[in-house]
Amino acid sequence: MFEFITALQEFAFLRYALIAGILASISCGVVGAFVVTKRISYLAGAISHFVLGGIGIARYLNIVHGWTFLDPMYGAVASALIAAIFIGYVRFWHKQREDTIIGVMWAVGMAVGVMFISQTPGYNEDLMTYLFGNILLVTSEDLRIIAILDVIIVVLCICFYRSLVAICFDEHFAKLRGIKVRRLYILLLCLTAMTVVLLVTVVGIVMVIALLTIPAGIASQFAKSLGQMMLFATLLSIAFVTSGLGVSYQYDVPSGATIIIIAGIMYILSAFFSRLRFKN
Amino acid sequence: MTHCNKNTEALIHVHDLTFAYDKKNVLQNVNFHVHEGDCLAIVGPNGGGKSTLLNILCGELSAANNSVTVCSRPPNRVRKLIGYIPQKNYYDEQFPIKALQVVLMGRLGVNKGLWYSKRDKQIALENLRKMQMDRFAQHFFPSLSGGQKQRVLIARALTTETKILIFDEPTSSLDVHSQNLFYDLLSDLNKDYTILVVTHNIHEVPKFAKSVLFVNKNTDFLSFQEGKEQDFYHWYQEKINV
Repeated sequence: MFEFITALQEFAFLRYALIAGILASISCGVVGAFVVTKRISYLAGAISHFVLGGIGIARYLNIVHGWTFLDPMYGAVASALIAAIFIGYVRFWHKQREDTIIGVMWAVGMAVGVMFISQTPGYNEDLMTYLFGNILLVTSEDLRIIAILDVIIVVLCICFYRSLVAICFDEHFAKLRGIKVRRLYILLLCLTAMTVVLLVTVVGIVMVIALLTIPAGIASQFAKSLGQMMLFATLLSIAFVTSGLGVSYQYDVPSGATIIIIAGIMYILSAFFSRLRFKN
Repeated sequence: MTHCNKNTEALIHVHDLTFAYDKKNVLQNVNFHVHEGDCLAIVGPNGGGKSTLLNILCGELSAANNSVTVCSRPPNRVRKLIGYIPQKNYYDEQFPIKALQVVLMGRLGVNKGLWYSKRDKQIALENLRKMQMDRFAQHFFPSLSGGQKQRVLIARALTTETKILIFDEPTSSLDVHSQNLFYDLLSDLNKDYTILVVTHNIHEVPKFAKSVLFVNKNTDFLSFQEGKEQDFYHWYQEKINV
């Protein structure tokens, strides 16, 4: 670990990686708590896989058609928000089976992404980077976008905190109190979508659900309120990202996978201790 | 706070209500009134329209042509007068929330600020005290017993500055002792609030109801008379057989 701290002072890319991880952890903790309590992690999975389509299209237009302003991150944000609004629309207005539409979006988003990436000149490793993440490739431009998304997510969560808690706990009662449940649910999906984009940078599309749900899942075993759960989840997420980066640097292994393996081990341990505590 | 005119005939007025899903009538030509201070049991078979009627009274579904009014206004305009208490086993047993925070939700739509105010907290605590649950204010809601959860949910309904309390299957998972405690509580609440109770527990109806509404597409109303339980059971049996 000492080697990692020394390297942090030496290499800018490591500092960027750590800052990106910490910033993403804030949204991950706050939105993850809503995702876990509302039990919509499968929706986050569909959104994260749909994001590959947006990234593929943006990268294709960027490289093949010279739309240099179109960073793949913008494509990710746009496709994530489209997926969120579409899922909300289907749930409330179209009365379609949610699980079917999730399956369709999950696969179609991936297919579109693979298709556009295959038609874009460049290294195929890019596809692996999006799927499994590479936080070490974060640029200063990425950091700027991550910071802006973070601020938007946290401010929206503060502004709508009471109503979001109400729809997660008791959607029916919230509706009776005159809260616009449909709009708020779509807002929650949009917040989830933006968080997914942040986490794609850190751990990649395939492992987003894990980082969104594991810290919040561990926190839920010990927290007595949603605010406390958000705080614990944020701190845990920062701990997983930092330790994962340190271990991956030390042993030269993929950072995203290391972060998730550490988080997974901690989840199993916490479930074990929680069970022991319950028995006692 | 919205107040009803005490001189008006009825607190809830349902006149010629017809409601359909996909052109299929669920309720047809329904007529009844609920007066202030009443304690009405709503009974009837599954699929008879009780839930639809409940949703209309709570303002969640809209009835045509002002056929339903609460304090002379459509229910969705006077939502804060209606306190709804769902079945207590409807909640996520792992949701991290304290009893006080559950009760504070009753202030949603009353206080439109970003956070709950000091006054909101005072009102919530006061209602927890009324329900003898103030010492559980900081307790984890899912860890409370069934009866305690029900009292917290009643405190939440009272926190909306309500006049009408609507209970949905309140005794469905209570043991006999807890059921009796609940009916005592209902009797106390009925001194200050008008009460509607949806129930399948027919044998318990004479313990709390002043009147009974049988719902099966259309409705029949019975004013309950003490000592005439057998009349009620015969009346109910006739309706079910029809």
